Amino acid sequence: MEKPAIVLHHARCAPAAVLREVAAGAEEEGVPLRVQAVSGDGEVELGHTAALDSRLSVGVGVSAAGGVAVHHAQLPADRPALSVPDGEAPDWRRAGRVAARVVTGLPLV
Amino acid sequence: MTAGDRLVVGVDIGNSTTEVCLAVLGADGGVRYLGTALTRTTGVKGTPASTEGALTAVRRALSDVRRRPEELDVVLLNEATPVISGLAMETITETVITESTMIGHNPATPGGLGLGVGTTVSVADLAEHPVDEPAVVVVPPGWDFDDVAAAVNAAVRRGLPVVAAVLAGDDAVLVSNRLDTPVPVVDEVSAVEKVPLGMRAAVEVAGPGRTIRTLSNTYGIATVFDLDPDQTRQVSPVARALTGNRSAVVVRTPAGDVTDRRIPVGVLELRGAGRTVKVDVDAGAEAIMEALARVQPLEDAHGEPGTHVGGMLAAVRDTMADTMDDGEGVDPGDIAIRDVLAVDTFVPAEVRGGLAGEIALENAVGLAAMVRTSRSRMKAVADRVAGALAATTEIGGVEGEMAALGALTTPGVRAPVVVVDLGGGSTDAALLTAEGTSTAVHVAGAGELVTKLIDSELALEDREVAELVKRWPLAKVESFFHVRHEDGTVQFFDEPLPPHVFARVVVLTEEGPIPIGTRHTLDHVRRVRREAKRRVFVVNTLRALRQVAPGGELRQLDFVVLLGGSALDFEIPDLIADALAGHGVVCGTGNVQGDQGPRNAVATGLVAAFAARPS
Repeated sequence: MEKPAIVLHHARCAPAAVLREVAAGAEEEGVPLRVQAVSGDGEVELGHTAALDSRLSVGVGVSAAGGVAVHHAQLPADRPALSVPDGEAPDWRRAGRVAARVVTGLPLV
Repeated sequence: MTAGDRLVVGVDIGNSTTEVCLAVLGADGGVRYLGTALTRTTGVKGTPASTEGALTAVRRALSDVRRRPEELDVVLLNEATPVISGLAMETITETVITESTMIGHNPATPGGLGLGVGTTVSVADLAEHPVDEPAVVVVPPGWDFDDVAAAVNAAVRRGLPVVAAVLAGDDAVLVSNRLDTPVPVVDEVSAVEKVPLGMRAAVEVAGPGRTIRTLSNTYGIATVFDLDPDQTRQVSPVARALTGNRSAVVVRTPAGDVTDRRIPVGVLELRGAGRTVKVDVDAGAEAIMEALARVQPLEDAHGEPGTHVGGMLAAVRDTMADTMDDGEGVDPGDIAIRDVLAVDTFVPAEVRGGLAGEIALENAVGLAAMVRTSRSRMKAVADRVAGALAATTEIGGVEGEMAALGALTTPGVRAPVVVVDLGGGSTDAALLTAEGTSTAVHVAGAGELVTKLIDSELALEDREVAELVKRWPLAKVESFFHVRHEDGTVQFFDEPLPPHVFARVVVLTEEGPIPIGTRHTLDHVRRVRREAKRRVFVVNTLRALRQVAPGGELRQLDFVVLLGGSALDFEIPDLIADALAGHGVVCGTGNVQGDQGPRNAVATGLVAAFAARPS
């Protein structure tokens, strides 16, 4: 069985810089993150399938264009906890932290 | 409506709401209540602008029972409570750091663990630092965590003992995880550029769920920096400011100096009962209230000019003069303060000279003051109402007496009765004896002071939010689908709660959960809220009741009926009832006419008084 972790699903050609910052955000908050390249695109959709795949019910989707969405398995598929379609490095870092904080039950930054 | 019946309406224009009571008076003297209405008071009560709200309410009450304004015989207006109140709050302590000597904040995620003592050095200069001197690395904004870790690891490999790190950004855990030798790391230091370099510094990080032990202890700091007793005395405020933190930094600078000085607050001069008593506001609320008790009834209060208390009372007088001004000008010097309520409070204030927005709890005193005004300002309103409705108007009765008469329509109440009107600016009590004589008193401090205490003690800096905290029960959002109420019960929602309230302390209003911008726990917010209500309303209710009770003895009272907006509060009536339980008094929230709750007492009382009058 997989260890409990936030699951990140990203499009195969998602920007490495985005993935690095999201991972850093989750690490700073002390929550493990498992990264997986999948076929498909659209950060919200990727985030939702990732959340369904996570034992913690929290997923992050990163699209080919670098869009980021944080999702929870119980939320409606089209209503992510956070969506950053077009952001900068601090926004990506924040998305990673938000994902971790959904797990730890802290106010979302 | 038979011949001889009269249609009358009682109108009570209050500070915030205007209430009316419509009734038919039979020829036999019987009263039949037809209905009530309530609107927001337009403009300031007693000014011509407040006519509009009164007319709206009267017309609404009439149309509810399909009556026309022409049928009205008499409109009864209240003489407004002759008091105006004002508020002031002043901090009486202040923590100032004259040189940057400490960082004491609680970053959400510090890194590493333990205590590191060394010399501060910028990460950019790490390569040149001599290896015989332990280093505390200072990292300015813009440095990537990978680069910081690489620089520190390289220095350690060179033989330099790096004992701790202080970061501008929020990445202590990231840096910490990448170090070959883990050290304590403090982050989110916004003014990191003010950390003096080349100085001896101590960095401490406690484990999760723990607080620091060394830097929050004066002798711990003395040990680390090898201080003599005089220097130790100087750093003791630093230790105090760091108490309860998970991480801290103390940098010893030669000129470093933290002072915890008391601002001269001044002397309050209370005059009454043929004498004058002076009391140091520094001494706190209890001493002020004791002094006040010795000069009852108070004739006037003054603050020493040039001190904080002088400024406080001047500010209160100025606002009162503005409120009372009816175009002829009011000299603030002519205003005599007839009651004050002093409340000890604390204000979280940013430490001057802090590097990361440190907050220290400073002591403060809140003062509510009240003046009596003899001016009747209802005449102008009455004339306008008479003109618009083509009815006779009458201005009648002392408000307290009217409220007591209205309260007597509450099931289970009989005279002698005391009504306590829990208002916005003042708390008013009136005793109505079985013989029909009444005594009214007004004491300073009510709902507005409660809001102000909540606002400052929680550092909300938002009156609207403080008002919400006062009015609504709290809850903690525990998931996207459920909240836990302050009493521990859980409520589920079908629709996901919005992300901005996730994991936050919220007030549950009719419009849904509204987050409170605070890092405090629900329990802390609840405690502050209840204490604010207790210190104002419980204290004032007891003060007012002692003034109207025969011989000042609460046991002499039978029925106490709570009225006014704050009597609708979800816990204030309970707090008061608890406080009175030991005195054998029957106390509860009024239910005017059996269905109006604590509302409409004055309007109803106006009608009852008019009906009882031989015509």
